[in-house]
Amino acid sequence: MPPAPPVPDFATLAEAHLESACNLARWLVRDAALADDVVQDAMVRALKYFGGFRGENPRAWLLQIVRNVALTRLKGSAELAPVEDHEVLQVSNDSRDGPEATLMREDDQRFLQKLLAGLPVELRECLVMRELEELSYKEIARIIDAPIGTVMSRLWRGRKLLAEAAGALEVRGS
Amino acid sequence: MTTSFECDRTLLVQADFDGELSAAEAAEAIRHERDCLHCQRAREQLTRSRELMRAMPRFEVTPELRAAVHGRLLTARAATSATSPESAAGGRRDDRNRASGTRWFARPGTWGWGTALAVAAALALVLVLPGNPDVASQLVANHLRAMQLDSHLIDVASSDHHTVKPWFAGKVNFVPLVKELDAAGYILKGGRIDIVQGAPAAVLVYGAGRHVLDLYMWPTKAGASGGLRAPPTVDGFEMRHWEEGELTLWCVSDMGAGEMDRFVDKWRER
Repeated sequence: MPPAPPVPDFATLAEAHLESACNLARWLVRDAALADDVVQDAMVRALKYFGGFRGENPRAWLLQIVRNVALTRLKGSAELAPVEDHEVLQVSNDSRDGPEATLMREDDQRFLQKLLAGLPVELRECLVMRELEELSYKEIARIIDAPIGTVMSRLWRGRKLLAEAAGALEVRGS
Repeated sequence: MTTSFECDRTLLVQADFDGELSAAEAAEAIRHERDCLHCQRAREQLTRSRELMRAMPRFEVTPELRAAVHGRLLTARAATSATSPESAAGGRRDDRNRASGTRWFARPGTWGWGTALAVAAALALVLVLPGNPDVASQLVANHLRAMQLDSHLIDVASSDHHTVKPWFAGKVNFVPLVKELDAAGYILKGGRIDIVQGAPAAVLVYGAGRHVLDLYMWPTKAGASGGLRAPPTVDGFEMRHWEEGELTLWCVSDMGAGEMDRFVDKWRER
């Protein structure tokens, strides 16, 4: 690893991590329009706090803000709302077609996406940050402001739920 | 309440799976796993869940969101400037905010965002004109594509009007005015072409300290200009509008009002 980089300017930082911010917001709030709002609010807030940012791990710093904004928004009624089918349908034809996506029947994949979207937010966020954003335990712990042990047990609970659901599908399909 | 794992070492196995352990710890985890059916099963579930997660979509940024983020940041930045005007005395309290708000303009290498500011200001310009709301979104889309292609915001980068002016030939069907104002402190950075109101406009980009100024020009349409006045500011950005010869000119910048007037004076003197 190179030595700690200098504090990037905000524009560079925002551009570099916009994709991560968008993905996390979307998986947290599970609604495209709301996620867009969250990302925008979070970026404005990040700009405001940028003066106090010391340059260390900009992505985690930014995602922490995204998460806080998202959870605040969710505190209303949205988190309780059921996941709509169309939201899951929307994402199922995305470009990610690794071997899994092709092997798995489309229905099943849709079901699994719905399952992830339906996990409690505290498990879902850990899974998304670990597996899609590939953040370390330490980074996730910082973002969710919890001990590493909490990250580990939430990850495990989320993963177990997913794996068991997939197992159930395989049984049903065979 | 039931616990979701049957062996208290499962989280250690998971940490190994996630590459979070030192070599010694990893060796211990593997040693344990060899003798623990629960943890062997856990490893299978970890692998399975990872396959599933990797098959999930990673949501991508839409051009609309990117545009909206840029717009919001520009507005926020303008608001920050507005609360700490350069000329105001005793602005120390705001220095920190101001520094964070303007940082991207103050740094070299972030030219693209400075120009993005001017483009966004130009969008505001288009929006205050009657009709043509589509031009705005088109301009945003073009601009964003340019940004993504690693700052293609200046098509011809030169401080020499002998280079910039001929560059426009054949690209726009009019002869733009190009002036060097170095002596007055406005450095010609280059030019580009934008579509404004459905027709190509020549854009000159000037730098003044950390400010960026975009000067738009296109042929004056007969009967189109009478009474058209630039609002002095739109969303905190200074704008000036005038006609010169056959051309309609608009300039847009985040610089202060006095500085903007000075630029216009210097330009028109030449």
